[in-house]
Amino acid sequence: MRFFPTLFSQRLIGVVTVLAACSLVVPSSADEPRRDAKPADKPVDFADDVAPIFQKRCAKCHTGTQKKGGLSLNTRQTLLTGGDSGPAVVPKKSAESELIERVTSTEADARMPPEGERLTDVQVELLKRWIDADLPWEDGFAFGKATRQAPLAPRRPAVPNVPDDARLTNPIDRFLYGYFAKHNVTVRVDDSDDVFARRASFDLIGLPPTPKDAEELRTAARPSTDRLKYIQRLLADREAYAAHWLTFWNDLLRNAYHGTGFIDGGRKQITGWLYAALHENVPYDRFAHDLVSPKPASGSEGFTFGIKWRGTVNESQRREIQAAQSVGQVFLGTNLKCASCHDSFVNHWKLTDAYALASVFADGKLELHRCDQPEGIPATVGFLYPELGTIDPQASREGRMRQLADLLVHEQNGRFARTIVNRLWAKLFGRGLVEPLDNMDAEPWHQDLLDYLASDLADHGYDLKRTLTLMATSHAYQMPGVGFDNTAAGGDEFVFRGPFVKRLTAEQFVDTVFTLTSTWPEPDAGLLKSDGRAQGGQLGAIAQTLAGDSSSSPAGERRLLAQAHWVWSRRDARQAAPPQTIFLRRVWPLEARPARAIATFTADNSCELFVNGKSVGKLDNWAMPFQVDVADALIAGKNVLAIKAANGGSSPNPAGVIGEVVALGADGKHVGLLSTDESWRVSEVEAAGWQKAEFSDSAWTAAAVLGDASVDPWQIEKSVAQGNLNSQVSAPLPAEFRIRAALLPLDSLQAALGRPNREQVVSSRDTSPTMLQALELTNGTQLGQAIQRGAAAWHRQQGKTTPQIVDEVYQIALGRSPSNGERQVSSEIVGSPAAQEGLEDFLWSICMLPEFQLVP
Amino acid sequence: VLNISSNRREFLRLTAAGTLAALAGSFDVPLGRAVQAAPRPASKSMADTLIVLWMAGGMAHTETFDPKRHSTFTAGMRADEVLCTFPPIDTAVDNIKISQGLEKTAAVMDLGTLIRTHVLGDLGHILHSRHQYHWHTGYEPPQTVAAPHLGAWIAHALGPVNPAVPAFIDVGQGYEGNGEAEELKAFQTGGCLGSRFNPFRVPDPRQAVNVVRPPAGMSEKRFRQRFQTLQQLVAASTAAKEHRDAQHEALLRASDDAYRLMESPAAKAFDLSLEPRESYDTYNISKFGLGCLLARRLVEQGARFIEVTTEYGPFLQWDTHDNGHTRLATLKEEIDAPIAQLVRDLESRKLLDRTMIVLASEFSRDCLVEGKPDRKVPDQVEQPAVINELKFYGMHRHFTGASSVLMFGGGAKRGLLYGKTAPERPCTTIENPINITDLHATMLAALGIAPDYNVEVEQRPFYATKDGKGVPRRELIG
Repeated sequence: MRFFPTLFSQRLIGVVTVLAACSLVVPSSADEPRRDAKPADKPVDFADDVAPIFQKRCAKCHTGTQKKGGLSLNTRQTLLTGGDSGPAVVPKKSAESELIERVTSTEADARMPPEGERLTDVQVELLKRWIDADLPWEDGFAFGKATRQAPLAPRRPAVPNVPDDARLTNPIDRFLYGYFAKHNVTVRVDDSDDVFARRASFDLIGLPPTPKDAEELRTAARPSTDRLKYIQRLLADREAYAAHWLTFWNDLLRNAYHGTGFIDGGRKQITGWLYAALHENVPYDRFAHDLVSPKPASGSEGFTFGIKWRGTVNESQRREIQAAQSVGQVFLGTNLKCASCHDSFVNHWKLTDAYALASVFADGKLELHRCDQPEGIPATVGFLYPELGTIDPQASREGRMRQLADLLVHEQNGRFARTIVNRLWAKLFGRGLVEPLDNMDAEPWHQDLLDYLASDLADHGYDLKRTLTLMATSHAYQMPGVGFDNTAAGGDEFVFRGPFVKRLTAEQFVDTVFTLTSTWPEPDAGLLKSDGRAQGGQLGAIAQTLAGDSSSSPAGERRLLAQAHWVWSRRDARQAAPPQTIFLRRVWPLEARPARAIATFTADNSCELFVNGKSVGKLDNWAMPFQVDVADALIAGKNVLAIKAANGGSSPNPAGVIGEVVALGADGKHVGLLSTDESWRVSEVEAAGWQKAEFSDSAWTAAAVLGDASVDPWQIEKSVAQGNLNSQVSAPLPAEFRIRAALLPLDSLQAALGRPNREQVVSSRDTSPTMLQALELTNGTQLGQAIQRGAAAWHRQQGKTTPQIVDEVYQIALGRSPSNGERQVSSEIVGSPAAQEGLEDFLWSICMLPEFQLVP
Repeated sequence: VLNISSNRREFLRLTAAGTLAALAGSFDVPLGRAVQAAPRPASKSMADTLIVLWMAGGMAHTETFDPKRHSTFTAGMRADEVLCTFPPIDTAVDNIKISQGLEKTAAVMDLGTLIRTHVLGDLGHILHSRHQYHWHTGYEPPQTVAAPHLGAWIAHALGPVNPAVPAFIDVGQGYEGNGEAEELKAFQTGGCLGSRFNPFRVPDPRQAVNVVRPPAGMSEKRFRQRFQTLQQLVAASTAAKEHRDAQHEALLRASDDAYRLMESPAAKAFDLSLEPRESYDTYNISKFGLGCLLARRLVEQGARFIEVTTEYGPFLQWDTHDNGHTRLATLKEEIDAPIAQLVRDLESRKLLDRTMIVLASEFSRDCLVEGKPDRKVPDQVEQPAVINELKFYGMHRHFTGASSVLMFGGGAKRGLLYGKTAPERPCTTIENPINITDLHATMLAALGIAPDYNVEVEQRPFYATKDGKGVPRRELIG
């Protein structure tokens, strides 16, 4: 016995979706799925079998608001009620049901549907069986439910006039003037500079305000001017701004991802590009364009690359479709996830829409798959909003991606700007003008304001900092914070009353702890390098970006392995060489020891590199060359590079070694290059001391050259260009660079506080406090250690009295001075003179305060 | 919601039951973003608690609970003739034979059901963590929605048994230095149900007590003082009134709950040193054994869902790419006594009737077949056709055609043998296959949760069993 009837499936959902969107669309036979007769032992499924028939053949006249002949198929009940000629069906009695009579009738004035092909025998049979099975229907489901579709074009509503005495200059406030009046909201600008300083600083750069900034604001002569200046100063701190907004974009773009699929090079990080884009405040249209249509080797290609999994993957998760889903969600605020599997039920997108967009990113033609089953229908290239233009299916993949990017940032695509300004609004005000943030078809609570902000962004060079400034200088933003009281959780219509009190993100929390305890992380090698699977290394990528000068960047503009050749001991090794170990040497005279010497090597199947007898690197995966700075092992004069390389396997197979060393001077200029070629000496026999400088290789032979870096079977040049490189090389970080929490790998503290692993696109995090979080804060090692080091740091500050320490901690942590009562309690804990344990307990208690974790 | 002005010190003194309710406590931000809960399940339950005993890495069925023709090791033997490297043994049930090395479990076989035909997914290429993700969530990764762990669904549907004990507890899986840690994290999560349903993790049962103890090196006294300090600062706070909102209260409640967990009688369950010596020694055969002991102690306090894993790490534990025979002899020793003792302890405490224990693995292993006989996947293990060395004697490839599952208690039939696999290679399912979806539906049904239990995510339902389509296998329970 089946315990629970399972009428409803995700597949049904697909069908359901069809309904709303295309009630006026005459189905063409092209999108009719292939259907065979249903085996008699399989129950008829409403979602799978029945709804599609109704949708394709009956919906036009009998669903939604259409009731031809008085008959509506919207719900099971309306079907039972029937139309002018009585009930349409008799449950369990298909033979007595008018519906069956009509669809099988050959009389011109009785037959249904009245036009076009008859229903097929298979379809009629399905309907009969469905009626005989008592018309299983999905609870709550109705045909023809309307889904709102927001207008696409940009709008430029005029800024409303408001009475002079309102003294409102910010357009946001002028748009909201009438709104507040209508909703009886009293507008009051919060006079507390402390609150404002903290709110703006966290929202714009993710850090608590410095005591100096807060003090300046407090003593300002002209508050509004000074608040504007304060905001401008915050936004001008490019490093702080970039590190903060990296969190936002990493969540949206699934970057800084560690995780599933890594074994197969699952994800290509974009950190270097992203950091640079934020640092330079790249115009948002160019930002999006670069992500969707990356320039070669720009470092932004990971976004449309998606996440690759080992093994077979559901068709709706193939990389091209991930790209379509991400473009839809991130830039257009629309959900293509449902439509990737079947026609969507949450919006109007159809399977063909999702595949059309995915086809932009496909190398070949995609075949439509409905719920992972092939439909036998090729997908056609297209864009979600054809009114903006089309994409040439004949164009190359790069060409199609460029056309898509052009359409995305098209001046008539108002949705593009609306989506981002809504996200920014939500970051600053705690809730979007439209919610959910990823459904821009939902109704905004203030259409004009949304449209204005979007057009303002587009009309001013897509400068996101301009929009942030506009928002942060509005009175609306400076109203007292609104709490999440329980009454607000009701179903009442949302009314904007000011910015919500927001919880610190994991990154903001950790950054504040770092600030409070002066325990910013040191740039150790582990943080700088990627882990050999091209994961991690966020900080290294940023260091590279900040170093800027591409001549000092080994992966910069110079093509890696440009002069290098594959070599081996045998000329035919590219076809096959026996499993064996060979030894290679090259003497390299240098006038002076270079500042840096970037060695990039690989071998099929494995190798070890020695410089002057010292092992400097090993490799056992030819597809992931390693890169290491060998300058420390070099000397002025005669140097010897030596490679021990092995061909694995149990029978002959391709073998080769390729590599280079680029020597750089202190100024970053190239001062030397050594590449593998016929000048290297080779032996198939290991001799004592062979890797040392003093060894004589006169009995060895010249290495056999197999071809340059482009040759098969390795195509290593292409592979490296795609980022398949295990680089242990990093540019040094600038002095005074702060390693912010967003640049650290995901640890248990940040995970507990809600930093996602980026398996999925995340546009708003779960901010609920949980016991597990509190437990991590209570006895987890990360916070514990930071507190210990922090207490020690405060303890070392000679000459500060306990009350002074208490005041400073309050100022940094809570953005205000302690009350007398607080000062007294705190001082007792800290002890006088301050004691290490007392400081620890005090700092920990401060971090646990709700006031610390909430930004008003 | 607590009244901030109440005497919080007084409040903290209340350390009795009713603590640790945080996982049940809900805080929904009024943004329209929170996940909506489906109605509570209405169906009658047979179990209150589920314990999953996870044989991480792929437990070979023919070497454990589904013995076949036995071949002893002789150099030069043909790999295609090796089905089983251990002889069969009798169990407490006449028609059930299992493998040598599992004598203690054999003796409690009459208290449970043995399923021999659990058929695992076809993911195209073996990746342990991916198959484990599939088993634990019911969905094949990747997913556009973060799929919740089975334990999270149960916690979501039922809440805690005793509010003082977290509803979803995961015992024995560490992440540190684990090459597939990120993949494991991807499914050991509350996922789209929200962070409230994340697992309460005890990475190493030998150090379970540390999870609910003050930070290392801190005295109890100082720890209490810390919380008093926090209390005093909260009480003295001059934070503006409007900031004392639901979030504020929820943060305070969360830290109160953490504190009270650590002070509560339930926390004693984590302190295995309190277990009588003899009993402790029975379990203290392995880390996994102590995990079983922890599970039992938590069930006594009122746990909802506990998973105890042998711990997954690439090529470790049941991930036997070599030395299958010798390694399995050890592995069986590590699980045999603890499993049997767990069953007996729960039975003698009259807890087995309402506690379901399910032992499973992400797939089985075979000497030759990688994947299924009819749906092979790329070989990942070298297996010579002729076995000359002991290290090649065993089941080293990843087999998804049939694997064994044990069920005890909580409505599981007693002494039932379910499903049949072929006597000769490929030893695949030939009768009564049960896939992950239906196995989950069966476990959920025992707990009174419908297979189409769901939450709304991004305006669509997301189900506890794949697409809501799981069908409980009624022959196994009730």
